[in-house]
Amino acid sequence: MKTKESFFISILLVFILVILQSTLFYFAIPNIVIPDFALIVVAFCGARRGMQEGQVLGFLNGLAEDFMTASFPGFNALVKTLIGFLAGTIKNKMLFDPVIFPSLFILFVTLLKGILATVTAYLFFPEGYFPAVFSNSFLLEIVLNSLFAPLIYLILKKTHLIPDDIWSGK
Amino acid sequence: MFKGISFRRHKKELITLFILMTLSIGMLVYTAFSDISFKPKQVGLDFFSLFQRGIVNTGKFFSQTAGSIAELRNLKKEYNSLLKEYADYQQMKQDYEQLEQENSMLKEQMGYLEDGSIAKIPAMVIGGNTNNFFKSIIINQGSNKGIKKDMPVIAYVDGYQSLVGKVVEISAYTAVVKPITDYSLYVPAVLQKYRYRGLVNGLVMDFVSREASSRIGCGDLVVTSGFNGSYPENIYIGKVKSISSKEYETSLRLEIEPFVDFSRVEYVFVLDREEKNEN
Repeated sequence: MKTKESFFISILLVFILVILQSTLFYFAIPNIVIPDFALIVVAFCGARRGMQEGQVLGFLNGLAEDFMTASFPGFNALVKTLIGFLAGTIKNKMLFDPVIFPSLFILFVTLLKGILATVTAYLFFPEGYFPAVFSNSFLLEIVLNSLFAPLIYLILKKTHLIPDDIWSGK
Repeated sequence: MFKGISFRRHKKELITLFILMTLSIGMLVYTAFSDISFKPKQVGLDFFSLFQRGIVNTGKFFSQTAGSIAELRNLKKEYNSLLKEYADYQQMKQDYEQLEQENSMLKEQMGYLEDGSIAKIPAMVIGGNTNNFFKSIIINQGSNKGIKKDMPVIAYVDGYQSLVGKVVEISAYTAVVKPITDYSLYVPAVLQKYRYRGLVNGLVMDFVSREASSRIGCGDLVVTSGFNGSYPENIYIGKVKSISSKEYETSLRLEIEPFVDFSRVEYVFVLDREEKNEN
């Protein structure tokens, strides 16, 4: 698949995931924390495609979330842009095994999301608008994201939405 | 990780990052520190709500179709048992009408006003949280139905008006509701039985007088107090789950279990006080 083509499909995939997270998953699994599938896709695409694509994908993911939540527009966009960019810094520097590294990577990325969200809220939110970032549901989200990471990594790899690593020889 | 990021090598990436961050921070500062609504967000909300409506309606169609087949089997059984119940209800209806008459007479005598001062705009829930930082519920009615920012939203739970939250974002055909579980929402409340006031924030009722400790207990009902006018009074919020306080504090801290199951609520009502008053 061509790079541009797969990048546009990744954008489409992120939008679909954001919509599904707010509808089907929301109604289908009540009272349970929904994993941030879109974040996982952004992080893997960033890590494999580089900073540029990671940050653009992150920005669009965040913007879509901003439109659909009660958050201030720009909050999720800023957090996810930085995540996409930072994930892109490890392009061609890390070797991904099928299970452990994707899990650990997403665990770290989700934790980073919490830290960035806290700092952003602290810097930009008016008094009394602080979101509950480090709550029980966020801890559960970290675990769920890490558990789903290998599966999503496998799907992205099989569908060629992320390129093979430089060590694979392909 | 950052050792390899040099401006020369990654000029394009860093310029893009600067642009995207400027855009994000610009939006954030503009909306967080001004009362002016952000038009692109309203347009975006309408755009994404199209897909949300589509998915929710399709899901409902399939679940209702599958459900209706099983439902037919039960209808025959239910029909027979309902016939028996019908006879009982006839008698109950007569008793009810009599009680209603008595009730309205008593109300008149006590000087109560009928709660007809608030219009209710019905809406269907078409979406919810996309992340765990901001709790939100998306409904399928917006400014086209007269919904405005800060309007309270309720749902009926076992026949009781229960508080869901308030409208925080509106577009033409959609609105975003912030539920009472959100930490940034403050609801003036009162304990229904003993009338101790407090402030509910993120399902914790604070500033309840310490005097209340000997009288209140778990299971006591908490309703809106109507104080400051942001929410009408006597709407159910939840019941007391636990009571705690520190020795040096002058007030109690009550943990509340909400009446509304936010992940299962399907239909809500937006309360429009202006509309009815005008009429």
